[in-house]
Amino acid sequence: MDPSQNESPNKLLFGLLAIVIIGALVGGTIYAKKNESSTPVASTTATQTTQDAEPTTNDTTSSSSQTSTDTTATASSGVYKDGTYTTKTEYFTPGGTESITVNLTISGGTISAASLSQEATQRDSEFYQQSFADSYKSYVVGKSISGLSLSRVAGASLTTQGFNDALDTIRTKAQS
Amino acid sequence: MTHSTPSAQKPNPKIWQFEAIGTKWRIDAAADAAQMQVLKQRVHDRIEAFDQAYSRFRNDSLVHSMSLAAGTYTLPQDAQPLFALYEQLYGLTGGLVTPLIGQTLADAGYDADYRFTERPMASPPRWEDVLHWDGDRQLSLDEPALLDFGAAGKGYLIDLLTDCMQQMKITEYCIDGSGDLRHVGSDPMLIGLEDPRDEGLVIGTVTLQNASLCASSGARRAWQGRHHIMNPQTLSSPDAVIATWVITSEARIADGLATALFFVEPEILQRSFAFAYIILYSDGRVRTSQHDGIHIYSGGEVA
Repeated sequence: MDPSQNESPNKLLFGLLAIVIIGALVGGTIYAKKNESSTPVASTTATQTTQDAEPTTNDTTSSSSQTSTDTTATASSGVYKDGTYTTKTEYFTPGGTESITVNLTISGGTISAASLSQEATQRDSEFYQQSFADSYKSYVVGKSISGLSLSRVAGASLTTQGFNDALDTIRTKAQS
Repeated sequence: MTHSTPSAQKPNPKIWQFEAIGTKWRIDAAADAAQMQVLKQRVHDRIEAFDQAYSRFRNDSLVHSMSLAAGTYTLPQDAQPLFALYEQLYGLTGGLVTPLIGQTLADAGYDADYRFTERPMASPPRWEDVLHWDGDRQLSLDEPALLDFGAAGKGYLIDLLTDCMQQMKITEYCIDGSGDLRHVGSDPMLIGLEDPRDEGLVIGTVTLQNASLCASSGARRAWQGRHHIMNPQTLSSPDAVIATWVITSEARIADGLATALFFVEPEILQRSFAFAYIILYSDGRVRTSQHDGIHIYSGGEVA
């Protein structure tokens, strides 16, 4: 049997739940501080990630997920009370139920400590929980170009004047 | 006692900047003035030939004629690697990366006239239903189709331009097609990864030598709630991934993979390609492969 048969639904569910948990708990505080112009992480965004990421190559059966939270937090303005928050989430995969536990310590409105308890039992689930563990702490903060000695900057392709003018025309029309 | 032969000395790098295929280019080459003269002509001609085949923005292109009529078309001699890559990406992404996205993009507003006014859009047809490629130079269309090669075309053109460099025996150069570049030579480049949320910032750097780096983001070609990368099934632009960068030897592949990473996880693409990547998500989280030359500025690190 091709192990990749199980990859898609397993990864779909794991990714969905892991991102929802971490994003919901983390995004409100860190993200609001770092970048005012964007919206805080919301479950819908996390869901979107997974939906966009999955090619429709396998027949996936949908499964429900359950979340239990030991400590409640009121996210009235994206600020969480100091304390330790623990969430254990179970999710269903075609190979059985998996779980992951996340601990976050919030102090002074920011996350001062975070840890995961990887509880996967299947090989694929272990892989994805490990991938998540390797990467979940990386939230970027941009640095100004002026302070760096860069040969080049790589981003979205630069546009020509004609293109910029066309966009400006449309923006002006939209405002009138 | 050592001595060096004059022919071993490399000319000082020349910088040549120009516009082509809708963006800004910069070519740095260790070439003398006479070589640069010849190089400029060859590069110009090569880009023009490429554009005349693959551009959906001009009325005299092969792509334009394909958008008018079904039939069998003869592709240019250089078509095979480009189509082969699209075939692979189409398969790996379940059709989310497709050359048939051209009409959808045009209807969304990104048309040959840059109207940026949305018209009713439809999902493109499946490749297997309308497009039959013989693996070489014959392409038949069961119906007129507007093809778009934005996902990998510029990267492929960059690779083709390295042929010009090799023919002229230029051994140190960087071909930068804006966001996509390929370096050959002995001095590594330090390249900043532009923050799509703020072009004055970079989220990290890549040290690049004898490799290609392609960036993809919706930061510039954006209008009315969408940008130039479109999901053919949802008819909207992905918004969870906001920027990607891919490092690999060929710019064609780096370019195509950078687009594909807006739609699928890197593990899926790693089944067929070896590459390094950086993915920036809308929540500020970044994901990178293990690669010595990548350095990301991480602000949210916890103990």
